Amino acid sequence: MNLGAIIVIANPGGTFARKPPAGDVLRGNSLSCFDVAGRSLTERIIDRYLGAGIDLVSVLIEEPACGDLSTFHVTSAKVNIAVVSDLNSAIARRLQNYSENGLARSFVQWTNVYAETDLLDFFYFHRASKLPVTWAFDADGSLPMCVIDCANRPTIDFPLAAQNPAQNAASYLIHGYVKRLTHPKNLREFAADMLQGRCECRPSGHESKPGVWIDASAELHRGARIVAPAYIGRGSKIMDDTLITRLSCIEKNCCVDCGTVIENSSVLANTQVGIWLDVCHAVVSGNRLLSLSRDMTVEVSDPDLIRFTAAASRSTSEASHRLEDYRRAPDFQTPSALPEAWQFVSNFIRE
Amino acid sequence: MYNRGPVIVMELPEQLRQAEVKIFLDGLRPLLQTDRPRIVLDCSKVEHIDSAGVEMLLHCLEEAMKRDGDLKLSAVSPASAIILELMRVDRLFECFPTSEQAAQSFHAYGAGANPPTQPWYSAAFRTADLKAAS
Repeated sequence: MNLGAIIVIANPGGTFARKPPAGDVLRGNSLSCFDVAGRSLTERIIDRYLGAGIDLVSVLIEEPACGDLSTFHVTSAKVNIAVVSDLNSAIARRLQNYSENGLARSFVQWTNVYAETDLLDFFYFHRASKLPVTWAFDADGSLPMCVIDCANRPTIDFPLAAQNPAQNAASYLIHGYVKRLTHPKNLREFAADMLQGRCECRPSGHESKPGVWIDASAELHRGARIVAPAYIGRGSKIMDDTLITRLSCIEKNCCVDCGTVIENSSVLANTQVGIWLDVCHAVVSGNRLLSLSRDMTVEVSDPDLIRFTAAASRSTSEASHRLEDYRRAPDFQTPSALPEAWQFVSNFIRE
Repeated sequence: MYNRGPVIVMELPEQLRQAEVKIFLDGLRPLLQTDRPRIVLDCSKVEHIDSAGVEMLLHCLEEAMKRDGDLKLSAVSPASAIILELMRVDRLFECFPTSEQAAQSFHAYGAGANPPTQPWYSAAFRTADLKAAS
């Protein structure tokens, strides 16, 4: 008896997701698709399931699709990605397919929460409960994450059930690290937690000195000062006389120009920050800046200050192509035959 | 524009970009060239400000200070304040919630009922302590 997982990237304006405020710094995109210290939350969630030995992971992206899907670098044959319009029916259909393919139980998780828990323990808890579904919760309340029986599944309105678990469901308490993504400030908090080692996630790239993480092909000028903890993403350029300090994250393909200070801030992918600026306690994406101290987003029309880099248009084009591929993909792909060694040695969760 | 004694209050335009800056500066220049100019720029109508606008503010401040005057800002919106902080100039300007408060601040010490009478150091420190410390 094997296990599957369904990971749901909900549309921010759709069911069970945050409603983006006007002038949203993330342009209404799903928070879980933005890189945090090199990898998006969705990729990190997928990694956790694959690492736990889950047989098949389905990623469902709710239409209208949103998020920078160019950041998706999922190469595993065990991961199936699809764009769907009706989440409830898509999840039900996927569970039915799992059941027909011999997967008895499945995790279902929305990407607006990241939880570090022992998935094996969660699964055993669910199996012992003898109930068709077990919802996770933590000290702050219920979480959009459950284990469900694929064959004997009850009829569930998933978005509602995740908020108010039904009577006929077990509850599993998560003691580990949990981060809910409801506001762009949560991206900052997650980055800070990662850089301070408060969660199991680590920034990508290598730790060039204690607390300073530099990703592949990042260019740092000799006169740039990076104060730990900090992260510099792949392909980013940090120019002369800059100061990157206090848990700041510069994501991929960014450029921080001469004399600029980045303090306690996240500069999201493909962003150019001009010369002699002071970015403090903020999230910057292209020409938008969210001041976390004022909880206000400003759109800066002056390209000398902040703007998208040339890599942004390539990234957008790549994202739209990838999205079309996901739309064209067949609804469900049965996993191809897996190597014998993987089936009996590497698969940790198995009855 | 209106004048309250020696303090001049001017309203900045909604858009403070390259095109608007020149027109506004042409109007302000004669006032900056007076002796000890005391100017308050009312930012209540400003919706967009860019680097040209900030440069104009810095130029005006510099001109005012050259003549032993000062330039203060009033009713700075949060969006404008974010741009000033981003360009590291927020600390150069005194900002007030209203133009009236900004204008009064030019006379604050003269009109103050309680001029500072206490020494700069705290009463918690005694002279002996200070001597011992030295």
